Amino acid sequence: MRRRGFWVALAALTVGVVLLAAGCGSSSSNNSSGAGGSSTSIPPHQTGGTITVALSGNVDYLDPALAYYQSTWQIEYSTCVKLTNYKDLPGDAGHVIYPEAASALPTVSSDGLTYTYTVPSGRFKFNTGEPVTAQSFQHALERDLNPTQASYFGSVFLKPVIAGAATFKGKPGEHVSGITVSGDQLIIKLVTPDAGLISKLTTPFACSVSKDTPIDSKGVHAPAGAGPYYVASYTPNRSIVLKKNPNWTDAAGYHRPAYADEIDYTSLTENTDQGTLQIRNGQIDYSPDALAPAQYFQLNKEFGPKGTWSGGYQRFFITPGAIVSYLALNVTRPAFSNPLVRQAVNYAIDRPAISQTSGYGASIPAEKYLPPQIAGSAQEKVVYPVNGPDLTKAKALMQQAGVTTPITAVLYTCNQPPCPDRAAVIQANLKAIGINVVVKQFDRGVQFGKEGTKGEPFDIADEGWIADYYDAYDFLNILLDGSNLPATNGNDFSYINDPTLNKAMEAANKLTGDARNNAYGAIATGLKEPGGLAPWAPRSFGTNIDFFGPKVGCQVNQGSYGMALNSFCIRS
Amino acid sequence: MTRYVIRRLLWAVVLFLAVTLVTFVIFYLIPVDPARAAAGKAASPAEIKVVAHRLYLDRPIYMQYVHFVDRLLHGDLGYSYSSRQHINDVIRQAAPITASLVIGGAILWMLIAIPIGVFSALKPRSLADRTAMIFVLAGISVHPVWLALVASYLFGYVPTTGSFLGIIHFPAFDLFPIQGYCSLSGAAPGEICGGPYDWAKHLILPWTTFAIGYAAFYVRLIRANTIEVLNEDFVRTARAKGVKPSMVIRSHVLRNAMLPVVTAFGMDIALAMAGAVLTELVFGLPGLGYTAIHSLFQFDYPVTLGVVVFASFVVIIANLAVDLLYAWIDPRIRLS
Repeated sequence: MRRRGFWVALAALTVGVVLLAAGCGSSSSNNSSGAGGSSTSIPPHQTGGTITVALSGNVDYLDPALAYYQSTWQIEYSTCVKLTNYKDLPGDAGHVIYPEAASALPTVSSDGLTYTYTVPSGRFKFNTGEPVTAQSFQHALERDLNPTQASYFGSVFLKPVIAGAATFKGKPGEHVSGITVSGDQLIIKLVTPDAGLISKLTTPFACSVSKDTPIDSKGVHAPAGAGPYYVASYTPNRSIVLKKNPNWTDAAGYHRPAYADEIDYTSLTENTDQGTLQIRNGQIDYSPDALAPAQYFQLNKEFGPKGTWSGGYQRFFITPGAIVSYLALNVTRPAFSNPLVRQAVNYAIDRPAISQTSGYGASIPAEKYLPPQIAGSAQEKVVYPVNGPDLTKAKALMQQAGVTTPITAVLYTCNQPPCPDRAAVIQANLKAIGINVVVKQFDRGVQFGKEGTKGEPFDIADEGWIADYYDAYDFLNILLDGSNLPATNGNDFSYINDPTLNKAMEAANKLTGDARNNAYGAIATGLKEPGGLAPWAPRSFGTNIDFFGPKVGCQVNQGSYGMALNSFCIRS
Repeated sequence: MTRYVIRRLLWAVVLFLAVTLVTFVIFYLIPVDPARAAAGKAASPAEIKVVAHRLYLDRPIYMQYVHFVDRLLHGDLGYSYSSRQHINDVIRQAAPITASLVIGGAILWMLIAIPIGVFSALKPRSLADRTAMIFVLAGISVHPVWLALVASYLFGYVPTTGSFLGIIHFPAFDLFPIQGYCSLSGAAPGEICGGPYDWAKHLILPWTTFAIGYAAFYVRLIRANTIEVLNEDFVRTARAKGVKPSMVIRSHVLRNAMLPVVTAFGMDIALAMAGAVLTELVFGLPGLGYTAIHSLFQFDYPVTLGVVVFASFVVIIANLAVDLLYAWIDPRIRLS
């Protein structure tokens, strides 16, 4: 019931915001959107001004070929123009891919090996005045694939599929044979069908770059931007300045505003307790992460959708992120070799209690493999209990499995809060069905490395996954395809290697559109239904937490990349 | 003297190499694969191998160490795994912030400690002395993080709210920043503050927090030394000869009482570099301590190693300077 309520609210939110966007665009009038995940209205606001932002810790890079932190993707969402993009809309509407610099979604050859994008020249312009063309994207992708640039995304997600990428050395004048430009057409040839390519090219790694952007393995600090804003300056560990792109015209008609003149990341080393105080009193206008988790409850009470603070409008936002947290059940170990025992675990764990250990609002109890941002999530059915354990069913499954209890299972988890607390809840939950959990805590990096080593003696891995890009492949194929399990550094922590499952995932990755979503949704559902392999016990989705000072309004919590910086305005 | 200086210099080099070796080995023993961390979470084993080769991590440990020392001798601390920044730049940016905190804090703690310590020694067991000793007890006992949080709440946040505990109301005003740092030389692009005034304003609370503990310790030290010297024969003689009391204190007592204090001060300044970590963390000062802690959490070992090596270098140089200064002041040290 709770989940249905959530989706109904989300749908209402989406409809509201679509109407809002259609009705008022970037005007200053008062219009209600009825939104919960975004600001409830476009308040009277001034055009221009400066918004200050705090981050707890530095960013990684601002170079599109290298940036990988959530905070930098948020920046790049507002500084980039891509072939395809997500609109500045909250909820489901913000998960749909639309053409941006391209005039339409790409045409795909019947064999699935050639993608052709048409990029009308000059429809968008960089802040330097240079037009965005098909070459801008050719250069962007070749930077990703250049061995000297050493881009994670290029080497992991593009190199295996784009023709000529494997042999590309990046010498002056050399081009990747599979990426060509003909007039205003960008043609990408693949060595194997990859229907996830469109999603991959919707990430900031495929952000258009100016023809002058050099190859620099340390990353370009202030690349030219063609989005609503551009990076005017970046001093590592100290400051980032985003300025309004003077050439921004919202040519794709996505109602992407750019209200403030400047967005300044004034300090990149905020202490979370202090950061919360600074935003409370307006010394800082916004932070996506410099907040003390222990204060989420109080902040939501004061500044949430029904906040009690004197200003009356929402300043504190909790929204789901594309993050799934799960218990990987090691199928190669005696404790969990029987799928019925793994199913029993899924019925025995108390998801709300486990989520509570992370603190108020930090996670949403869930039993899905695919977070709501990922196409296919809507098609994935809810099978396991989300509101609490179903011990009757769990015990029945244990009995059906015919195993002798008690079973001893070793749980690997991290040694930082809330991992130990979470482990205690899991221990208590599984004790009820005759599984004695032995908890072993490690530093997070050590835990990750150990779990990825074949033969490591653990039965349960307390894990999570953040999307590299918004496609089911990045969750299911990456984490559950055991056809090529490495001896070390693996990601399939359940060590499941089921030929039928592998084939199904491989086939799903060749599909597009609804067929793809249905296929991935069915695969995820199939893992959970009676007779399913149940390699995981998914337990929650992560959330994004955003807190604003009193002067900021017009927030749009973009469904895929979090709060759209370009949507922020200064209340008048 | 020359032989002594050469001997100390050689020891400093040996000590420095030993520190780098121990630090390097400690990081090598931590069972985290830096290549995996640098390659990204979905990287294939083949990709991780490529990254390991690029980062020189696929060579035996002794070769990695030789490579590290070779770079070090050329003044190159290497590159960060997580941001690929040159670590020399990271240190160059962070060191002045820590220096601002430590030097400013040290001046403040001496400004507090000398008058209180001397006054307490001159009026032992008086009400003022007892009060000073309460300050000492509190200053040594209180945890710097607690003190920092309370200070920034009371003097940073509360004034901006215009109310204290909902009981006392007053017009809201900005007193001190809750956290953050401003460059002494002026505001860099995107920074909302800079210059000497903003620099000092942002550091007053960190300096105070940082200085309290040391000041308390030094009050006790100065008080004890001064009382001891006051009872020396030469002080009694000076008084008997009719030297003015202020002259006795200034020329005979303080000069002698401060000698051990100067020694301790030299050592503590170097150690305070480590103590500054907590203050930097609470007040969001991106100094060396803050940088080291953040890099440790990110498994960005080259940065951690760089900070440790740099800090060791500073401590060794400081100790060397103190040793040489002592040898110059007291010839007996050279002979021994």
